[in-house]
Amino acid sequence: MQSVLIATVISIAALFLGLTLLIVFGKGWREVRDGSRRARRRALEPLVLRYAHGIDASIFSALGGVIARRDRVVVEEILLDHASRVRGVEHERLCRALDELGFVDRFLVRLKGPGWWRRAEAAEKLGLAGAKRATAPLAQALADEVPEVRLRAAKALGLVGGRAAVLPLVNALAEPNRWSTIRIADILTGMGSGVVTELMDAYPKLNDHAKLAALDIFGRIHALAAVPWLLPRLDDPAGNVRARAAHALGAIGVVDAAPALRKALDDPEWPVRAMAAKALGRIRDTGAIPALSAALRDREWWVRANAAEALRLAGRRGWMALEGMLDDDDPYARHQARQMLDLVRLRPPEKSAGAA
Amino acid sequence: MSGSAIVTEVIVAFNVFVLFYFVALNSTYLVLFVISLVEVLKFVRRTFFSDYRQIMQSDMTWPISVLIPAHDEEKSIVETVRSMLMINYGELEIIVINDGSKDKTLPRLIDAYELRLMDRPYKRVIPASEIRAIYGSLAHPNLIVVDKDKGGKADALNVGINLARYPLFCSIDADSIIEDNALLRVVKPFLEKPVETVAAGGIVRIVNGCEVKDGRVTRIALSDRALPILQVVEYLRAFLTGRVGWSNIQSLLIISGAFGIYKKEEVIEVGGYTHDTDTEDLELVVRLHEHMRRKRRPYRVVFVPDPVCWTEAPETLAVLSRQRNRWHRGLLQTLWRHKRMLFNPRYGAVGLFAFPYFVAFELLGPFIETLGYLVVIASYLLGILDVHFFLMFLAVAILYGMFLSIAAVLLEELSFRRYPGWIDLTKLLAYSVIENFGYRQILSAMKVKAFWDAIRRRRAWGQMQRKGFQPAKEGTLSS
Repeated sequence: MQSVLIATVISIAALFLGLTLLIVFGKGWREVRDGSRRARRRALEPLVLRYAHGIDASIFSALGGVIARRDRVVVEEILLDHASRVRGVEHERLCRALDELGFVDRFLVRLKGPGWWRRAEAAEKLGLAGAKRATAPLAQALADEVPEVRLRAAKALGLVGGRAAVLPLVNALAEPNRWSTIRIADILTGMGSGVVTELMDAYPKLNDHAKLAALDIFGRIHALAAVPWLLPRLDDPAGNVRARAAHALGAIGVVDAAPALRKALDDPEWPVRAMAAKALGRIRDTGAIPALSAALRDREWWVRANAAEALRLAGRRGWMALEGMLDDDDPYARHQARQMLDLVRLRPPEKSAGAA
Repeated sequence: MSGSAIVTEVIVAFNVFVLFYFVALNSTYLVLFVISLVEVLKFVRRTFFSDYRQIMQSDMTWPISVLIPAHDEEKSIVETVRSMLMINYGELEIIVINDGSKDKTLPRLIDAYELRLMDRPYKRVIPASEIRAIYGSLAHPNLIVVDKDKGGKADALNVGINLARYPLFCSIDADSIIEDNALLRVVKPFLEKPVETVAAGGIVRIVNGCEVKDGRVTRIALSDRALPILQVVEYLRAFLTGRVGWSNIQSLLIISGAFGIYKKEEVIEVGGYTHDTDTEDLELVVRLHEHMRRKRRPYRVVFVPDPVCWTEAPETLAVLSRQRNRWHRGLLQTLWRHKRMLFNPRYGAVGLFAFPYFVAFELLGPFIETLGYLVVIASYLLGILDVHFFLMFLAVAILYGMFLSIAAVLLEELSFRRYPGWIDLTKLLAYSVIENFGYRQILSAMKVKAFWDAIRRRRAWGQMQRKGFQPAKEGTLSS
């Protein structure tokens, strides 16, 4: 037994010492490596920027010909760092340098590699490098088994841009991971009105949460072209869809949508009523003032709060309606009206075409 | 058989039991460490390119109600609220619940944030104390302060839940500071799996020794005092090699009350926080597990190792003793209340692994350890102590303790590296060794006393003596 204990003591002591040395030498090595890279960066960055600013015609001549192996990591870091921050001609030159120095080819190889982290990193870097020729491989990476890789590929496609990137991204909205859906929705929103047609076409085939994300995108990019398509969604059998459609119409801010939104204030589901009230506020629809006043008595706080806010935004006529609600029998309606009138005094809303 | 022979037999049997217990305990720790190592590395890689700015700006990110219960927190409450007001997050409301403070907690808040009385109707969906007054802030529309009679932290949180408007609520201790991106990071599990995720917690770190300015930790450093550093090592071990592992096998029983996010609907379903335990945070999580398993609903309770909540640790043994006494009493009360989960396959991994672990090692471990020391003394007096074997066993126990602490420091160094300086690293390494000579034994004794107090049904709140946060020196740069 004692020999077992002695062996155990020696093993654990060795393990303990090993871990301690690993921590100390790991930190030391990291600091030396980072220090060396910082020093090389200080030397190489001005040269890369000379090329980016067009002073040197070629990245090779800017860097003095062949790049040493140990400098490749630093050069890659400098190029990606600046490519992510600048636009226009400088961005194009930096992206071209990444391609000419063979970094893009290396990222493409890594995108198909065995380690998921490497694939995700490669996808991210291809996006930063603006590599148009990576569109197809990145679209394929949207089917990767690891969500992180799919998400990075989607982000890269958003950065690479172009029509070829839109359809794979729209289809990727059906991601089972909601976080990815949110990010992809953000990416599509960033691509602007160019995604509207593809979104409308793909909508029937999307799953439930992708449909909701698509509706949000229309609102966020203020897609006027989508309004005639969005109005019938207010009659969709799914309450979530009706609510998001109302929200999108409010975000777009088209006055033509007001009658349908007023009707939605009577929807049996409270999220739809809440979103309709919010949308009417955004549109500054004075015609909805009676219905919004009535909505101050709604059973749900969100509907009351959004209706009160909509009345505040409707201008003087809305404020008068709020004052009229101060004597209402419903204590919740009175409270909302009082609270909103306090806010009117504190922060009058900005003037708009809809305000009286 | 003579009396001394019987005693000898009992002692030998106890020694055999301790040997098996020791092997089982340390094997569990080792498995948890290995799981944590893999998970932490995976987590770091996943968050390497995180786009928190986009997440913050996204309309689809869930809004959060932040609940800050405060009782006699005049020294830190203004800083805590300020840190929350500056946090990076899209839509959030901050609800401070002044739980019958006798000091200047409320006046300080009124002065600092231009509070005025307001009306705010709410549904009392969870039974809770009456509210004396609600204050709104002129300067910060998303801040409200609730004044109520003293009813304890659980009652204060229940009042906050009743007032909360958003589907998620975050409970934060009034002596804590939350990092800028902490909410964005800890809300991620809810966005990834919105149906299943019912609660998520983040890592809690010790602020003693750090500099704080305008509700922000501006310089991270270890304290000059021994006791806070010992707790830093202990927290690293508990969070990085404990909770990460339990979370991975869907058996996380503790989300620190200092920083946790919950889905309001589920918490209301289980009746909110209970008043009759000393650790309402632990009890709530265990009750959520029990409820969700009983209803056979898919769910998960997640620990996210990166979000950081900075909190003040006790600097004297007396305060530490009161704190640990309360924690251990709470553990005993919670495990006793939910004892039907023990070894019950209906509760899955929670009933079969986490519960037995907490009963056998966390609850009874200090008791067995202390008893072990007494048995060693008795064995020596009876002349049956094999000194050589004892010393070897002690060496194994101490070295293994040191190994686990060093392993936690390694995880920290591989992942988050919050303590960047060589001096702090040296301190962490040194205290990973030192804690095994005295500190652990003192903690065990404190827990044994807590066990005794719980049996005698003694309850005390373990009042923390606050120093307040250490202000940053002029010219200190943000870390």
